Amino acid sequence: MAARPHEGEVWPCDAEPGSPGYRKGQSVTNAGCRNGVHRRRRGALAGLAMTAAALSLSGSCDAFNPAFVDLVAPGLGGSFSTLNNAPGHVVISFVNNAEVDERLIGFLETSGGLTLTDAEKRALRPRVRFLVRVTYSTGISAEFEFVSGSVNFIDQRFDASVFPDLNQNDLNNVVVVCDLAAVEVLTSSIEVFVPVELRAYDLVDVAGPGGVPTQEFQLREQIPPQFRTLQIDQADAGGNVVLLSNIGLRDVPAPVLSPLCGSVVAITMTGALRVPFLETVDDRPSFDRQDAATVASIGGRYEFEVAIK
Amino acid sequence: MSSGCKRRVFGWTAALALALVGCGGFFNPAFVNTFVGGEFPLTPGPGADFVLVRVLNETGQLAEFIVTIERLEIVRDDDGSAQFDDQGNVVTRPQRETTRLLAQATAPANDIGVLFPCDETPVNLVGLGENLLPSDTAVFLGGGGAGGATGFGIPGTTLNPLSRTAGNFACGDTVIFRAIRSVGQTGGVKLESFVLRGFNQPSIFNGPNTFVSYQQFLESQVREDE
Repeated sequence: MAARPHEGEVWPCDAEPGSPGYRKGQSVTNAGCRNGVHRRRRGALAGLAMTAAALSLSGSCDAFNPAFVDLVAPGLGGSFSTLNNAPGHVVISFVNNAEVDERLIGFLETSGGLTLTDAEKRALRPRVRFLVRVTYSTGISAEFEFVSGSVNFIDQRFDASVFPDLNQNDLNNVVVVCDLAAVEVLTSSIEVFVPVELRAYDLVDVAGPGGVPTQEFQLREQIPPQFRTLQIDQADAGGNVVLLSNIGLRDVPAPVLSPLCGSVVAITMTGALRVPFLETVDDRPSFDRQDAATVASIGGRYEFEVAIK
Repeated sequence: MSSGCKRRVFGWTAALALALVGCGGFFNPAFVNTFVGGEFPLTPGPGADFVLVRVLNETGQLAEFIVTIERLEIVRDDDGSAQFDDQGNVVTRPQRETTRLLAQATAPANDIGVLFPCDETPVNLVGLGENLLPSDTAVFLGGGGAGGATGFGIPGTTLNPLSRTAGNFACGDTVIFRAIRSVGQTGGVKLESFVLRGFNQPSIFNGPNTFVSYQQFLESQVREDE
């Protein structure tokens, strides 16, 4: 290997030191011949910096930060593999603090064949499910279905196994990696399980005694237990509520934009599961189909709060 | 300052600026955490009582991981109080919980997890498959979810459930299940498990302590009748 010029030495471009072609006053650099002091060391360092910069631009910052977490795989054999550290996590959590109307509990205990202990009554929560869409900062999105509430809470005359979401395990938290652009509850996907059969009546004109026209409620439909989509109150152009439904205009879960890495997005639901009873007509859950207000309120009334911890 | 010196300073500054901007994450704590750590916690422990189970999908297609844990549930009486046996020990019974986690094909949506509390009742087993058996479907690959395209199941034949009593994991740890492409494996997919110990992780971070925050939030949720 040919001798290399040292810092400060003056070498000709095309001559080895001590050779006949050596001429005083010329210098050698990696970039070519230049007049002046030799810059080999400085050039090498500059090259290293440029290389490091190029590496960083290509995404390989390992040259600066070569630390990794070593993970040990347990179980068979035992082998060493590594995974990169996660960048950090965001926890998306759902807390179901809703209750069940006492009249509904009473009906299920007396007529629905349900037996509940005091502790179970205190812990009773309506079965709720909804979708949460997570959008990452890269533009990719994913949806998760949260399910929470008391399992097998249903009129015992119906088979709970027909409803998989009724007895599957809860999903009340999801841990995603950073960085996120948005977390939002898809409000059109919020559903609550109505655990009883609903009997729908129509008020119809009939001929009474002596041919006198009168009105009476006639059973038109029997709606079995099922998940029911919760509706948001309807409002007019001025923002005035014209029809109360299941979720108030100001109680809709708000989207979270760009949650900080490491934060907790907490979705809390309060309210109560209720079903209507058409008084003097039926002692079972029932309603007048022409009563828009009652129809809109089937399922109960709820409030959502989204907070970042 | 001589012109040569100025060029040197400029060159170094430009190179350093390029490196910092190119790394991007030097200013992004999430990126820093990937390579150095210390910004955000990677495990619930030592401050929070959860087992974090993460699934990592590196198969290039949609994958639904069927995660099952087994914990000992406290047997309670009608008033909700724990029952005790003749020796004064709390009576417990094993209970399994299965959670299906749908991991996308593309990062970062291919890495998701779920937290299982382990303060009141310990988590004893963590694995894939509904019954934690080798013949169970551990991962369902390629399906489109509910009503989606058909896929196929990968059994957990080569992946034993992790046991707390055997020392495979503890409360506060992170358990990671990874599915990667592999020749010679069923469905061309290999399943692996990893554990990140919580007890030797730092407890102070530059960023928020995620899992401690979550635990504090849960503890603050007390209903009026409780």
